[in-house]
Amino acid sequence: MPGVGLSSPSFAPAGARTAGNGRRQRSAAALAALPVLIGLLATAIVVSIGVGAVAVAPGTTIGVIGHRLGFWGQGGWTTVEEVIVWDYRVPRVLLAALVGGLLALVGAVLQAVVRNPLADPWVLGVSSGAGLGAVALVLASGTAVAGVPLAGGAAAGSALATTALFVLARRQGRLTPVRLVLAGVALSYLFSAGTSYLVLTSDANKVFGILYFLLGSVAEADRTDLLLPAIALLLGALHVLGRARALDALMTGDETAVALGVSADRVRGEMLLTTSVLTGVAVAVSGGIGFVGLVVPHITRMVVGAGHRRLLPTAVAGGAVFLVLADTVARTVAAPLELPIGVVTALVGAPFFLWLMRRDGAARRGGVDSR
Amino acid sequence: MRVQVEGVTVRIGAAELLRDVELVVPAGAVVGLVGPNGSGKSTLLRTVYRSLRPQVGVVRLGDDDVWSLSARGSATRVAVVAQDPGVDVEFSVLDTVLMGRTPHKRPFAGDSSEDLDRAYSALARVDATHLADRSTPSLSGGERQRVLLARALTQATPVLVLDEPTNHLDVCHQLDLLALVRELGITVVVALHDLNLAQTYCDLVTVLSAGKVVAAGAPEHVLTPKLLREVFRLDCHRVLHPVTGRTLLALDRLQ
Repeated sequence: MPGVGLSSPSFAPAGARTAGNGRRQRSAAALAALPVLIGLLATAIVVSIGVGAVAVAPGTTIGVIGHRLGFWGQGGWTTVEEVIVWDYRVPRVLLAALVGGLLALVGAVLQAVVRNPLADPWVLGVSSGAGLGAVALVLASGTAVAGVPLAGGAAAGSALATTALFVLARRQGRLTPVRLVLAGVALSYLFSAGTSYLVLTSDANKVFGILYFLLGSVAEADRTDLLLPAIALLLGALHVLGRARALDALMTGDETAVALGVSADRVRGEMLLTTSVLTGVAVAVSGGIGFVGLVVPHITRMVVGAGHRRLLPTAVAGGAVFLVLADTVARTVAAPLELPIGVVTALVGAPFFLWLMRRDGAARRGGVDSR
Repeated sequence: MRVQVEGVTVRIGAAELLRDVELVVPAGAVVGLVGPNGSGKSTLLRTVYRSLRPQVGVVRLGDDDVWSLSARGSATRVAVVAQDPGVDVEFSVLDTVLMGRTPHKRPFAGDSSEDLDRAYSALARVDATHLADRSTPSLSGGERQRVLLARALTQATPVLVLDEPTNHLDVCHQLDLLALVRELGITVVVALHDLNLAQTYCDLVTVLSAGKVVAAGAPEHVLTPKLLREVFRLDCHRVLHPVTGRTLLALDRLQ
């Protein structure tokens, strides 16, 4: 427990161990967080699949999914229900879960890498770069706002943005957190301005589609869209988890990290590259969904603490739950109209986050010195 | 493990922070670095723990050039208590101390019971067991200094680098800390401001002034009234402790 205000007795007998068996005490919340979130995720997925213009009972949803995965035979549901569940809603809901996990993972890593609680894929300009790339390629190729130009443009844009970030933030072979944030914010504004220019000078009947993409959506998902983000999330999470101790050390400062045998600059560069790829993938499949990468890691940290071995998996699960719920809201609250999911994440996430921050001092836990 | 600094020069921009510095720390010895503010003590220490690469010269840990070692390899030989405690992150004290195991751990490895044993025994040695569950930013300066020493001890290295370790400590804990450092039996390089502590607890003392070594050797031969006047601008009288018979430095401003 953080001893706020009350300090523990300073004359405890030397060698006295803490309560219980004297070993590491974790709060019940920290231990339960990941299993609870995984249960919540499964529930949210089933419920979210059932919600929509045609409501599907949870039993039917589970039945259809199990049937299609080959666990059991055809049950007492209609073909229409099966098509709605399997062809339309499963891809969409799973994509929301994958993208939520990706964005939360990226946010958690970036907050450690630049030692700044405000870091997320947007702050470093990578999301905006991916957005600009996607919009530019879609307009240049004259296609609809989807498909190969969109994904390729997003990938190229995020790669270019990352290169620019490295070149601008590097000085005497070092990547310092402050320069990364400053360069990233400037690039972010630059790319957003470029995107706005392209949108406003483009064909009027495309503007709506592009705006929709820029605000983020998983509405167009089909099953083939799931493979790339699934692979990215799996490999990305493994890579980053393998560096969990290095990220812990990095949060305590470069000098300490070096003393603990962590090459601060190398880890920082490596993590920036990984997160850029993950961001590019997320933007390519779902557009510019904001706020997940910022908020979810903070909320997770409040529950499980700052250590990355626990934080990273929990943030992924939390991000997935958050985005599945946000997508459910996005397609129901103004039905039959669909809101872009980014609007929902911000409208719901911002007030909730501010409330939590006021209550719990999130900024301090995020790594800023409050003095 | 022996530490040897050979002809090290460090420049940052136009400033020359160290010039042609030599320092030999025999295995198992406690060597003090003293010198006025800005004399280059911290810079010299940073070259030893592979944080700063000298433009000229070599730093050896044992037989190896520090820069021929990996970051991890060097961190299994040298542990550090630096002056800048780093950004305050809400790690518990126990987690902070366990970070000392970082260079010994493979990716994905959790904390073993050996890691926990080392962390708890290090906390006990610095009289901080009762702080284990506190959050690190909530500690006082002195408590934090002891916890950071515990982290360095948990790193289990043959060489320990301490930059002003007595900062923020009350007098009792200053003496405790230096006595503990002596008991460890490992090679220690320690920057100190308190000349009496340097004289009492160090086997050898090296005096830096404006980035150069101006004297080195046994404390009673090095910390002479003449040197203290020239380097530190201090008036010094050597007096004998009435009970222990040890020499003490009675210091005053130059008149």
